Amino acid sequence: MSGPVTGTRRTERVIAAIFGVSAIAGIALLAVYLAGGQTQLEAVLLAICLGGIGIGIIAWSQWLLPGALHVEPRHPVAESASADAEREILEEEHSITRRSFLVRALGGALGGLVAALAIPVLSLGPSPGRGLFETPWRKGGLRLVGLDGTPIKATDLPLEGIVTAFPEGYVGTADAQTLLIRVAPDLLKLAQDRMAWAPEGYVAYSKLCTHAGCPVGLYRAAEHRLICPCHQSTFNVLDGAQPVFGPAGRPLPQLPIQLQPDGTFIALGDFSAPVGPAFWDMTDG
Amino acid sequence: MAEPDERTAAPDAAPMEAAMKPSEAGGKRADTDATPADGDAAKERDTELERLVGWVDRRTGLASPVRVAMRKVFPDHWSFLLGEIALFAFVILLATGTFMTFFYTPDARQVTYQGTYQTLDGAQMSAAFASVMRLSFDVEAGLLMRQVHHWAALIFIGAIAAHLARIFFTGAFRRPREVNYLIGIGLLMFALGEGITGYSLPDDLLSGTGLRIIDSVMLSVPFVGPWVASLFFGGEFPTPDILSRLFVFHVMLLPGLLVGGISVHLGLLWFQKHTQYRGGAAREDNVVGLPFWPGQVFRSLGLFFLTAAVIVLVAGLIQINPVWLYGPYVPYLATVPAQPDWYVGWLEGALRLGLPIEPTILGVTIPTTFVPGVLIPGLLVGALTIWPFLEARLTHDHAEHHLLDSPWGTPIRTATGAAGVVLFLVLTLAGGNDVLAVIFDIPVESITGVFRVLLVVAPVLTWLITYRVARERHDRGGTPEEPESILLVRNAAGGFSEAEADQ
Amino acid sequence: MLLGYGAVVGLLVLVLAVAGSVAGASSPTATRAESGPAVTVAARGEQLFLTSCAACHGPQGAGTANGVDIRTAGAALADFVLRTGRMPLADPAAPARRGTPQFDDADIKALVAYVASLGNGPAIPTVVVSGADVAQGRDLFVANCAACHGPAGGGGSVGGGFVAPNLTQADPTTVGEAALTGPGPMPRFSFSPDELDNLAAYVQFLRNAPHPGGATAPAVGPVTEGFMAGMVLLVLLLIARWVAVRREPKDAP
Repeated sequence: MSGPVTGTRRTERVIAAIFGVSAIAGIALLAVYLAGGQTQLEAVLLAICLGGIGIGIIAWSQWLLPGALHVEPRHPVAESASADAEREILEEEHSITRRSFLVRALGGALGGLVAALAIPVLSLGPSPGRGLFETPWRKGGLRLVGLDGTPIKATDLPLEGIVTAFPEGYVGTADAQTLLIRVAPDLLKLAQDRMAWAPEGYVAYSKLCTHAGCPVGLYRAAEHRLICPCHQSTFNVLDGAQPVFGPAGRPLPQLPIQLQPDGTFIALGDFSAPVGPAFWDMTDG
Repeated sequence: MAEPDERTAAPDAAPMEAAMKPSEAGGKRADTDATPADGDAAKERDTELERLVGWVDRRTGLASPVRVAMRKVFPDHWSFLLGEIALFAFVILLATGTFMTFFYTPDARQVTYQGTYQTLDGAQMSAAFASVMRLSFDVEAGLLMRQVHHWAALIFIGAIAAHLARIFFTGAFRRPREVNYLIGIGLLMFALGEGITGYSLPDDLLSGTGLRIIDSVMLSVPFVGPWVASLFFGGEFPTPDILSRLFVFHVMLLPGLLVGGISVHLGLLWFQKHTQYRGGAAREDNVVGLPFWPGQVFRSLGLFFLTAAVIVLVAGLIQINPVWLYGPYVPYLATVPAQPDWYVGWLEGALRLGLPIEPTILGVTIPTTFVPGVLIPGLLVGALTIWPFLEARLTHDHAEHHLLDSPWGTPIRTATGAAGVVLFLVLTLAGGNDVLAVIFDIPVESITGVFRVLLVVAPVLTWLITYRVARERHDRGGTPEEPESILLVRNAAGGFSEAEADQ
Repeated sequence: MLLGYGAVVGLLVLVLAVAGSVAGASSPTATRAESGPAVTVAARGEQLFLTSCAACHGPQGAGTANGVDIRTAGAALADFVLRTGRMPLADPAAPARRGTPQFDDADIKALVAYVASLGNGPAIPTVVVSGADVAQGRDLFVANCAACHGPAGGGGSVGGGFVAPNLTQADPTTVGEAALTGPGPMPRFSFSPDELDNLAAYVQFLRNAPHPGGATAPAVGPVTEGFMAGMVLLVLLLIARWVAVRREPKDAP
């Protein structure tokens, strides 16, 4: 190999300088880290270090390496004729497929084994059971409590107020989460049998969206609309949380609540329907 | 037909190894135990590097295949580097991910936080969330690692998508590369899985909400839904098991599948040789480009460092996924705006545009999430998967192709691809309909309605327009340019190169 | 050519004039404090109310087709909407958004006193953030506010054309007033004075929240991050184009 051509010396020096900057950046990065570190500064120095190496390498390849195109032949990928002889040998001396009955029997045995491979998969979780149909509220008579565990009093909720409630003893349980909303009683337009579930304008619905199970946390009080943040399903609080917009297809299940003499609430039983997203046999109850 | 003959560094080594495919070269080792000849050749071989190479070669027989590899020709075009960007992002993910694995614990048990972030002091959270808080605030350079990892993930999948688009629009998936294309689709699926499992590991409010949605989509499958959801999560959502399971997917199963898949993907590419664009000396039966060493290796290395530099710079200067603001996951809270990472945005959009129709047919309820969450994604991925075979069948073209098509030259494929891209864009934008509502001050209900219409109209319109434009350009432009004939000169080392006009 | 320019300029002037007059006609314009002698605060308040608010809210605040009944609004709500510039609202159909207050402090005090006198609405809460429990404030915020206002108070769409605003301009008193009175589509909350202090302290924390990871915006989220990632990918594509440049050997310097 002959020595470098005159004129590439300058390029070499420039590239070497870039590498030098990288080296300094790398050391500086270590120094910043040891001095206590600072995320933005470390990132900039690391980027300079990496980028310098990259720029140097590309500059080297573009200015100092031969850029001439090479050509090489390309053969068809498919087998060429000379492989026929190999194939014949394979069939003659290495084949087992002629004993097709035995091969099929082996296949059957393996199939049985594969079927049994369902075992590790099925052990991954319990049978769905009744879990999707029921919530802890089904015990009946449970008091509504807030996030801090203290019973919610009617006077805690101002008109047009909303609070998240749970059954006493089950605070934070996902499927028991409930919205307690206070509206002017004369605005409620529930079905006949549901009016008793909403004493004095306090109405309780499941907080789990019937679309994909997100907590329906947004409330436009003036319009009495509950909105789910995930996909914008919107429910009308006044008519049993019927969906009025968005992809949800069912109303939020309603919780039958009763106002106690001491101002707290209890639930008379479980929600009016399975909570959360739908599943294929949910109408089986 | 013989390949250019291989000249090893030792001029008196075994004479030419003819008809070499790289895979066959391994079977015919150069006889390196032959004693070195005298004189100049011996002096050259005695350099340190040569001694090292000789040492390794006498134990592995690799010198000859490596030399073949060094002269292997790779077509050079910037659009062939998109897959490499993805690969380099993956390397960065492996490196930063390994570091973080030392600090993360996939434990759902509740602990009380006592760390640097005062606002959460005393708060209850899962040990997993606490470990991510510790990594972000109490581990030196921990936050930088986390952010590099997350930004690299966004780039990883973006680069795969760009690479897929290039493959599709140039017809690189045709025979003999259908299998490699399928592997690529599989890699895309694994990458999506990595992304989703990855951002769910911190167990924060935003990603936990996403898991809830995944549970609901699994539940929506008729007959097997509740079983699938229960088996995947280990019970009724939320479960304490899910974090450790996602962890296993994220650090063991999916990386393993990715590494294995990428290896096969690159291996096939190596042996089938890369495709090339028409023009210049390129023909179906040759490869025109730069040799692997030093040309392509320098390019790839340089691109790696530059990719890393850009990702690191962005990762340190722009905050991403501030889980301390979202707070630990609890199943009874969710906030706007609620979106997953961009590459799942299309699924999110499909769910938001879903119609509120939940029929019960013969006792079987079809949940509203089934069509947009299971059926449509399944159809889209399925369409992507069968495309090479469908196209081959429709065009009756089962020949090998190593020259790439110009997108304008294949109107139907290009129109379908363009329509697919537009569909993907509409769904992704729909996934951010509430953000768009704020930006443009338009009611989100109106935006959703517009997107529902666009979902059908936009891809159809795009197909028709793209087809017309492609047809006109195709008809106007005539057949692809015939390759000019060139003069090839064989140099002393055995390789071919273009001759200069005056040679 | 000149005629064309002249026509454009003339058209522009005409449009601006029409727009200006329309705007001027429909908005109940704020009037500067008149330098009349011995006008009491209450009388001033009533006078301002009649000129600026009664058109939509009725002369005694009982409401009309264009504006709600504000007799139970109280000092808190009145102070909130006036100090944040949400009221007076030029177009009753438009959502009330934060803007420049249209009255000075003295006039606002007068109006607030008048509205408070119309009924039994809540008084302006005293919210003190120094010494408050920011961690408890965070709990309250996440449980009650973040759903609409976002995890960092960056705001978000709540549907129906409404937007829960970005909270970065909200001072502690404003936070307290809004939480207690539920302006616009907001629900009402009955927080204790301590809870209000803590909540406002956390909102204040969010305004200057540390962002160790780098640049951020109150509206955090994967949408912005995804958009940025797209930009970064474009940069990488440009870099790839540069990397692939091939120079003929004779081009070497």
